[in-house]
Amino acid sequence: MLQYTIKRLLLVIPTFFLISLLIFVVLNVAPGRPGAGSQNDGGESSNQQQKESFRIFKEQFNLDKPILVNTRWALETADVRELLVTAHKLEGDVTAAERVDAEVDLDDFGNYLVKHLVVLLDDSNPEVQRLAAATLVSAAQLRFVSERRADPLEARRVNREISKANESVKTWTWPEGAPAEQQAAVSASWKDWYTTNEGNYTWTGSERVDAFFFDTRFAKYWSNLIHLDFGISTADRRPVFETVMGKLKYSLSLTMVATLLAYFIAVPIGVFSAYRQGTRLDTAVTVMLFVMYSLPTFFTGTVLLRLLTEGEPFAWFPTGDFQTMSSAPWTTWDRLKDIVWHLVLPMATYTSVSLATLSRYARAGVIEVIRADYIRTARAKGLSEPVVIIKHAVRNGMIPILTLLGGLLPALIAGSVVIEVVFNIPGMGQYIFNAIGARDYNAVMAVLLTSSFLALIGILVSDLSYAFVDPRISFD
Amino acid sequence: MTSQTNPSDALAGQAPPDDPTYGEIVWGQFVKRKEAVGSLLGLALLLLLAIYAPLLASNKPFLWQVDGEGLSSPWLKALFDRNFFENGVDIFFNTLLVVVTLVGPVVGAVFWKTRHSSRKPRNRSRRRALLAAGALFMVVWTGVTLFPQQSQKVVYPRLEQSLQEEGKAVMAVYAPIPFSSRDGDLDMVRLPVSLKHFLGTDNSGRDVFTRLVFGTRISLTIGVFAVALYITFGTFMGALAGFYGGWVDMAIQRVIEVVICIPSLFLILTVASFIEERSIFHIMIIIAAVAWTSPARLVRAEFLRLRNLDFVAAARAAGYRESTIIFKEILPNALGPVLVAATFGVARAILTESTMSFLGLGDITVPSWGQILNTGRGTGIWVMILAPGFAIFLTVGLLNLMGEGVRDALDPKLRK
Amino acid sequence: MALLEVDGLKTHFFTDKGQLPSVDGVSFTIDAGETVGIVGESGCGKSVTAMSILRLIPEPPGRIVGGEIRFEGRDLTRLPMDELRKVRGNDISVIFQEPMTSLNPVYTVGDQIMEAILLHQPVEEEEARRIALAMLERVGIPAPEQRIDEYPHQMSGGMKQRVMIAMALSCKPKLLIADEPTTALDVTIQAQILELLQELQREEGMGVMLITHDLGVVAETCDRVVVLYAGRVAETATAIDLFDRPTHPYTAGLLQSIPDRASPGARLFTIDGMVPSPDKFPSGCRFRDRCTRATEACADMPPLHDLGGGHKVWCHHPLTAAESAALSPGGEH
Repeated sequence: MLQYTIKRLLLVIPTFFLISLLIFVVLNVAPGRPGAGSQNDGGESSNQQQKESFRIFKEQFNLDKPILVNTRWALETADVRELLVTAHKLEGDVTAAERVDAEVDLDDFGNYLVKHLVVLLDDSNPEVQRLAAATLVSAAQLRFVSERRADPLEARRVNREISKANESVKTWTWPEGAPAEQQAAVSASWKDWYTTNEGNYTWTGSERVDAFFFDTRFAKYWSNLIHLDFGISTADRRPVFETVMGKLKYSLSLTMVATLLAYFIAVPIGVFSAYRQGTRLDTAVTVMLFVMYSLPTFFTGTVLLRLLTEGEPFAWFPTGDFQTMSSAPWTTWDRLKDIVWHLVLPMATYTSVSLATLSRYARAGVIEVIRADYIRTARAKGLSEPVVIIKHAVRNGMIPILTLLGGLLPALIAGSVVIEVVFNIPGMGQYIFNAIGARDYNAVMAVLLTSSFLALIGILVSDLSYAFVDPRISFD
Repeated sequence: MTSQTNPSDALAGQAPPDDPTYGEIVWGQFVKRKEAVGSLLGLALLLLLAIYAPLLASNKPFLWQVDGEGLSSPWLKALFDRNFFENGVDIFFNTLLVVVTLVGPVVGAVFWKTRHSSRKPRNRSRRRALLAAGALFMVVWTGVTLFPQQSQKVVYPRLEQSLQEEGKAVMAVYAPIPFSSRDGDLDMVRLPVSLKHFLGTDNSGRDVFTRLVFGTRISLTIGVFAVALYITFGTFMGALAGFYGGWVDMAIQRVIEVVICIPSLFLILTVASFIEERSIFHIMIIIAAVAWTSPARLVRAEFLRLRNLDFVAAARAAGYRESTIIFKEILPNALGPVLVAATFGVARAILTESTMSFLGLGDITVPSWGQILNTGRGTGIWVMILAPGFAIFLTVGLLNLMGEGVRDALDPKLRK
Repeated sequence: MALLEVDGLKTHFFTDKGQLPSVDGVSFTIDAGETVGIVGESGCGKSVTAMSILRLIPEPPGRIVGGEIRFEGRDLTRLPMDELRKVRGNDISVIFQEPMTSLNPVYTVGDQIMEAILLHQPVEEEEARRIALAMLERVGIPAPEQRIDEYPHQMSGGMKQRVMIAMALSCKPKLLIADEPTTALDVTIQAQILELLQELQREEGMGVMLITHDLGVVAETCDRVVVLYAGRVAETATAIDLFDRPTHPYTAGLLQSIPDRASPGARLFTIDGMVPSPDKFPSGCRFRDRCTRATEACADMPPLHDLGGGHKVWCHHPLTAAESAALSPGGEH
């Protein structure tokens, strides 16, 4: 048993690795730049400031980095010149697509361009020189360090320094047709600046290897995961991890209560149905379960909401939310009552489908069991009927529905979206729904990872409990 | 000639009565159950409703004549018109409408006339009839898809009104419900239930009942095609895993585990949001991508069980290729649970699609039941909540009922 | 007074096919210390008779519709349920045919034996465990201290059957009903189990009702025999009498069918036809469709012939002494 447990626990790691890989792939396939929702016009924006905020934005999500491997340190000056030329249509025929691609590359290559841009300040084409200087402004920007790791105070101090450094270079450009002295002065500033700061923008041999593997979206993704750094939400600019953890308690309580309720009601119904097979009550129960199981949860929820809450015929329940917001100090008991009052309808909706499914399996399980020989043996020994049912029949009949727990948990977690949206409960389901709408991919990713992890644990618990309950299982 | 009749002589001239095949046994068990037959009939009716929807509800008149001249049928012309039926699904169903109406009676006659023949010739004729009908359908549908028509977008009721105002005599014969599922009359927004509009109108002035009826097309299409897709893929994966075992099995199982762990609806909604203009096609693929694990596990379990049985050893000993063994020997035996899963799968797919539409992440251009419900929830109009809910419940319920019927029919312990 | 008196027992089943008279007027007695064999082909009602004694027939669709079952004078068919439960496992115990499925797979063997003990005996758990261990040893299970905590799936069929016997005998019942206890076991194990049962019976002085279709087993272990056919008793006698002088044509047929009795190379004897299913029982004597001696008279209920010494037969045309003698081994065919 212990061996089996350890083995299963160990298997969690590769499975979770694969899950995060899948999520990574899915999120990177995402078209539509995130934050496109927060921009007024998607695409072309001549406003320098907007461009700037978009660039910072991309940085935060590492979207300016290549996905898998990074070879940007191998750029040649000629390549960079080519990019400048294409992006600004300086020479020859350039299609719109090529121009946009070059623009994006210039944006994304960032620090890797600096070395070459400085060289291009002395290019034969004055336009190239000007553009080099203009591009240097953004290319020279250093990235901030994450304030969510190790030492936040230190990180913030470092970031203040970086911010100052970044600001200082922002004026070092010249407009078209500026006098030669201005051009020379700016170029000189850059070159001076470069001699001092060269270290930040060149890569030694080992640094190159490091960059090759680790300065990529993929690597940053893993590194973030391990540090539980899910980034910042585009919607509210707060660290996602904290938000998700905050919402977790709502979702978890909902899911766990729902699971417990479902099992606690389903088992007696199943046993009852099995024993009263064919009677009218059994048929009635079967039909009712069938209806519950065939109705979509969003329908049940909406109907209950409209029917039993304020304004409509029966105003028995509140119109949603987890609890009443009030600043008055409530006792724990009162607060608990309030929460329960709020949760009656959502719970009823949430459990309906799983309850129906479990009941039917429980019923089938018990029906099969009561035909078994060992039940006859138990009766022949003189045991009373309740003991026969509970100790012998149920114990065996429940084994199959315990395995259902494994499949139930991911389904319940997924279903929470609908419940939370309809009843306005601030759990992870509602969070991911809003995040999807706002294209807040950090939040989406965090919720996907957290909920998958929870589901994985749930399946693990289910498998282990199954092995625990049925002594016939051999562990290999 | 002989005075004594020997029983075996009497039978010698006739074909011996056929022993039922496995399929025939299962079918026989299925038809003995009232709920199963009832649900099958109900679903057949739904299918007919989906196919003949335009016959029931359309704002293109069957017959149109102005001032006694120029009798035409705008309804017929509009059947394959892309301006009116923008969606591929509609064109598909309209083709079905035409082909089924023309060829249906013929196929039906073939089935009827062969009902007493012995198995081989009967199955041959029936198969031929179905193939011919299918071929005709493919021809028509390819033609219609490759050469789309697009005539003018005339809204006939309005034309009729304006012509009448001009004093012309208009003869127009409409369908029983003279509304379209996509043309709305902005003067008639949010009307309540009435004899004219059985379920009122929605925010854009469209008749809700018509939309509900056409919604059947969407739901059935998504259900059937998504399921066909993922059942095929899932069965294939499950067969590979179950048959070969070893690391193939382990690899496939890990993949299955991964897909199961990620809460399906989350993933579905996320991917759906990536696509700018979601079409039914996208939705089907997304649903399939998440649901294939269920048949895969089933088939895998069946293969694990079956591959150790003697008939497989016999096939191997006879020198059959592995692919033959998998597909022609084991797979037919494993299909029972798959069929059950498929039926329930259609129900679940319909539920998933309506949930997606409800949350605003479905295909907005089509009259999906979930979407109607979403509008209802927003505006608080009860009919728009109850009616699509009922439609979903009816369809899903019938499918679940049929699924149970199939499952019971396949269970040897429940043989009647 | 006999330990058990079954008097005109009728257990019928109410199904879609109608009312099936599976056991239709069966009577016999069992005394303390004697082994009575209930013999018949599959479907003749032997198991149903046995199960009816402790009312273990599944209530829908079965029901005892007539007759009495007197155990030590009390009519078990009319006993209130809680009284009956005191009898079950305590005064009368059952062991079943399928040891593989008769034990609950999720509880240890020890638990299941102790359950019976704790239910009927006024002892504590420790004492119950001691008794269980003693029983396991008594039924010949090696290393009982180890086995008592094992699960059924860890044991072989023969061992499981021994556990069943241990469980059945743990409360020292007065009557043991053994429903084909060895049918599902290997031949060698069969012999061991039968021997064990005989030993235990001698020690405890129990009455044993042994249900079987195997005449060889009957010959070895039973004092008296009841031959059942299609829910009714055909013949009942001491074992010796039955084999020496089979009187009912069915009994005769059964004896003739034993392969050992055939001479080498000769064709094996069979009784034509099959046991009719309960919905198709013929009127009168139920054997008449297969009986070579049947006449029109057999359409009426067969009369009882008491041949003395406890030998009774219900038949219109019982075999004469001469005819039976001709069937003994060594007689001419």
